[in-house]
Amino acid sequence: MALTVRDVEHGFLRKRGAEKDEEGDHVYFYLTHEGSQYTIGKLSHSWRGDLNDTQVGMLAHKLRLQKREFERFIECKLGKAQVIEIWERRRNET
Amino acid sequence: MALTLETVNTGVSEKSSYGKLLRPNDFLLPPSIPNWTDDIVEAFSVQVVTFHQKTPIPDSGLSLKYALIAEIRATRDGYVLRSGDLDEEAFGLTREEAYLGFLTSLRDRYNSLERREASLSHQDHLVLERLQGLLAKE
Repeated sequence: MALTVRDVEHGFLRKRGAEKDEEGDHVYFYLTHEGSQYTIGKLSHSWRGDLNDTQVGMLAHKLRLQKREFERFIECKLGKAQVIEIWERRRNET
Repeated sequence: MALTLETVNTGVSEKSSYGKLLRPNDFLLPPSIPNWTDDIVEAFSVQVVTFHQKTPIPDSGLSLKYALIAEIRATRDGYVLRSGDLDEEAFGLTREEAYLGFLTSLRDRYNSLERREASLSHQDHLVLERLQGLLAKE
């Protein structure tokens, strides 16, 4: 089943406790980990309903996750610390 | 499909060794073509784009201090414009929409990061520094 904008926003905010900044045309989500804020995602106000593969891929890429890993992160099946660890490791690889 | 084909053809020289794989007729085959054709289309649909120095950022009074190189990728859904250095990307159904989305993303990311500068992670702080170096008040 396709992820929706609402799924992602709900996942970031309610399940992950992220903070959102929606003052511009784009909404940024920040996750606080060990006292530092990390940008974990961006949605555009123009995005509606179901996200297409490209949009999910972009959200996953922001965290250096595969699409399935990103879905697991949104579903809370992938821990915050685990995601940060993957993120930092893969970012250093690229 | 036409847009993707156009993108592929502009990215591949007729003299390219890949020319044989990317002839227009190859894309008119029935849906039974193997999946790897999609991968080839995707691989060759990435192009480099340059935003010129002094490009204005919409609704911000900001512009680019220097030219910015990014990549644009055609997908089945539209276009993705990305800068790895700035850790920023934008999606659009058209190229123009992706360009505009990218520029407004730079503005919004810059403003958003500045608002929380004191608590940013190291990586986000680097992005903010790069944006501060890139964007100038007009």
